[in-house]
Amino acid sequence: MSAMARGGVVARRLQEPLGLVAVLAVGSSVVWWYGLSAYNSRIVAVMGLSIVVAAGLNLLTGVAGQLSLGHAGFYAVGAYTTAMLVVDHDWPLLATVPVAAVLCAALGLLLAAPALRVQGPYLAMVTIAFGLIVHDIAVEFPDVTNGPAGLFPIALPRIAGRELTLEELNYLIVAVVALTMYTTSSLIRSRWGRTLRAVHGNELAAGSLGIPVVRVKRLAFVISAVYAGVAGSLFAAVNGFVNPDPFTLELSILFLVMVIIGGAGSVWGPVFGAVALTLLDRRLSSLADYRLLVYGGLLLLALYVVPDGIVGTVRGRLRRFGRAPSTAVAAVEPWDPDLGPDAARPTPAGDGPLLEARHLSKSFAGLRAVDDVSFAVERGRIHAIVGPNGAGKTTLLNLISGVERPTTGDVLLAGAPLAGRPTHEIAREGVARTFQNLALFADLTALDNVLIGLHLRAGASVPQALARTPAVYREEQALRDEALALLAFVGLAGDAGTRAGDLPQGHQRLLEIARAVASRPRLLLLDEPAAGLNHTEIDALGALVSRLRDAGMTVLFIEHHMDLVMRLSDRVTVLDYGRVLAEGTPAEVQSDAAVVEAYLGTAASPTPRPERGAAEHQTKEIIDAHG
Amino acid sequence: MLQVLASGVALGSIYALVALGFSMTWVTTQTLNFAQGELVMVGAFVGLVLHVDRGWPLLAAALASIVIVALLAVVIQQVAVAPFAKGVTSIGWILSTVAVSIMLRNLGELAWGREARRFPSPVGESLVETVGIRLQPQQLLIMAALVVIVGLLSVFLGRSLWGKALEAVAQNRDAAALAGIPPAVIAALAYAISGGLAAAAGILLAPVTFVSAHMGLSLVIKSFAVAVVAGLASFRGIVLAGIAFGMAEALVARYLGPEYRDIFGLVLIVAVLAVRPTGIFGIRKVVKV
Repeated sequence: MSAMARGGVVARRLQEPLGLVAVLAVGSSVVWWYGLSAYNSRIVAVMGLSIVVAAGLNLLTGVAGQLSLGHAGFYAVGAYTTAMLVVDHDWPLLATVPVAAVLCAALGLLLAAPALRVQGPYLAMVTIAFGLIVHDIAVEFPDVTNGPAGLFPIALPRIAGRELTLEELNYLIVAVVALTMYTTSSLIRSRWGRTLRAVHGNELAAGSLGIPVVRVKRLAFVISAVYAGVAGSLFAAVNGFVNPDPFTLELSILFLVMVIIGGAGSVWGPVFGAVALTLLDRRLSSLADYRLLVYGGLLLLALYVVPDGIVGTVRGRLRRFGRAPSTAVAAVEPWDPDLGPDAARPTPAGDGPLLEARHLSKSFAGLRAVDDVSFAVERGRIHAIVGPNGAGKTTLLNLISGVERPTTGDVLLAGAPLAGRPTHEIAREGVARTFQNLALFADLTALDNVLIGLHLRAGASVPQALARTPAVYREEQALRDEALALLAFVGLAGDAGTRAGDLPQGHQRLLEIARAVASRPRLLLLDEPAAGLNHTEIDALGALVSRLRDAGMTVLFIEHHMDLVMRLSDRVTVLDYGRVLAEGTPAEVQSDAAVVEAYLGTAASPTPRPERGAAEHQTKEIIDAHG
Repeated sequence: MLQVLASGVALGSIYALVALGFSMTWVTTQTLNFAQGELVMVGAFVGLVLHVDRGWPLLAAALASIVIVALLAVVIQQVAVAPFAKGVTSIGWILSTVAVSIMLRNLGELAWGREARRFPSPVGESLVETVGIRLQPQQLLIMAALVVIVGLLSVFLGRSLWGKALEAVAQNRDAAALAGIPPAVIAALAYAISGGLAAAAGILLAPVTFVSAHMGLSLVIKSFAVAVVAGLASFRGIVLAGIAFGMAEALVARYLGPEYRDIFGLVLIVAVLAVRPTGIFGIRKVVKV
């Protein structure tokens, strides 16, 4: 291993602990420096709490791509929970923090319900509405919240019987910030952080890789809400009283501006944004009349000039100057496609076909895209599906992989029914797929794409990921090695650090296969893998698929390149108008009268059937390929 | 009871007008203006300044306000929406129009003060009694205006060339572009119409509430709730949903208590989107893999 690569490994290992120490050191110094001034101490406290909210919001909006314009609502719930328990029920303040966290987690779960169904402007409005509901309750229901006057006095928290000073409370807040940064950074760089990015990038692809999209979105809302709730709870302690005034839509927008200006999705961006905007906010306190104008202008400016945020933009520049991310591992262990005895899911040696479709049908608004299709895929074979455009091939693949539900009929994998189950569960059963129109995570590197594909082979739980335990670290290291080996296996070793969307089309197809194969599926579904490839690339693809089959993987693929189909397949099923027209070995299918008629038409039907230009071209290919 | 419902119909008509504005831009450009509520505010203030302070005749002040706000909406479309509308995600134009909305609110405060102002109704304040219901004349005017405006809009969309072009784009953007309908012009036109609707809503609403720089926020949320319940693409659905929403809100405020008035709309929007995000009249969108 080269010195540079070793340096990269060490940096990866120490990133979170170093961050923890750095935050503690810098934060404590700042608190100590301002220790005696109550005014400045409050600013420091608010800055710290803003970092906590922004870092949590970053997980939701920056990483998982779910816009929230309602985080002031969670902040308010945290603050009011503490205020009510302390003022009305004489709870010790620190005991209220976990209650605030749990309550916000529950509300996060509740707010995730509409978020699971809607996107974009709808989600924005829902979250705005949530923030307004909380504010409205605080104002309009004085029996509970004491209305506009608010709740007070909230004494400073006690530890060991002694009331903390404001300065000491600030040390506590610094510790919370350090913990926040440690956990969010660990999470972002973990298996679960990758699932958040995957859901952001392409929900369909994420599901096909075994990622439970619904659960992941809920997770993002809950975690993000908890950070805001804890911060709000401590805000009540810092402030000494809680009233509805601070918890406006403007505060939610301010939190979001912190994330965006710093750099949505980056670990340290929210820290930068929170510090900068808290300082700016204090500057503006004498110009209160222009606050919203300034924030709106800043947000607009940020969207125009630095859409990746300050931190994201700086890092992008650095990367362009050749400091490629540390993917330079000198020697990679060759990836062994062998499913072997210790692989997660060895192909069972049992008899009977691996995949069986029984009388599958799918109708779209009366049109039967797939009409009573039955066929079987034998274990360890390469099985092709061919047919003219619109024959229902992709729909068939969608039915098998769970992207669509069959109208009637069954899909059995090694005898177990798949039809009607969600995509990610089917992936878990060992069915992986690629997409005709490519569904890569275009903004992530090739390496990250494959790492997401390895999701099912990793075991770290969310709490483990937040803590980044040594076991998690070791697992990450192993996954990374395997992902690099996989990239080398498909011939993309040099592209590990490249943005997937920047790869040429042929490499993108190979990357998608690497990502699908990563989970070591029993059944690999490929939807037109050769589309857009040149002859050399098609040959390489053919060799790749053969190697996977030789290692025990079963492959079902749709393809228009007939020479590839004929060369590669053990068996071919021909679809036409949603029905099985013929099935057999490549040679049998080629000489099948019905197939020839479907592709060419016969003397009996002299008028060519419409939209068959492509099909005629394919038939020529058959003839070309086989003399 | 009937009285409560009637006042709900008046407010509901306002929500419907603002929601129609949402629908215009959504069906043509798949974008929304989160500053739509602030456009209502600007419309009301411009009308107030011209009519009450400067003494313009009401109709002239209203027309001037509609034109000014329509232009403002086009500016917003050019500056804050168009540059971000091509992205894959909607986060860009959502945030940019949110930014515009808080800036407009701030500017409104600076230009016209923090205090809420009264806008005397052009049709007088003395209650009229018809079939046992006593109504403010302005409430009747609002209902009449909704009918006129929706009528004019349907005639424009159905009969005029540009109206038909809008309809064409709403039905199939790509085909419309192939037919030579310039998408940029259509987008600006849709925003102009939605701005005009917002200004009209502002002037009609002003006499029954107060005019203030902060009047836009709750309006925009409620109108969006209406648009969502109706399914953003259905004009008739929006008018019906707006009126139904206004009535429901009035009933809630009357029988549960006024503190529930705003919460009702907010909870409704969360609930509708959690249960039936495509709206009652909406159609599910099929995404091809």
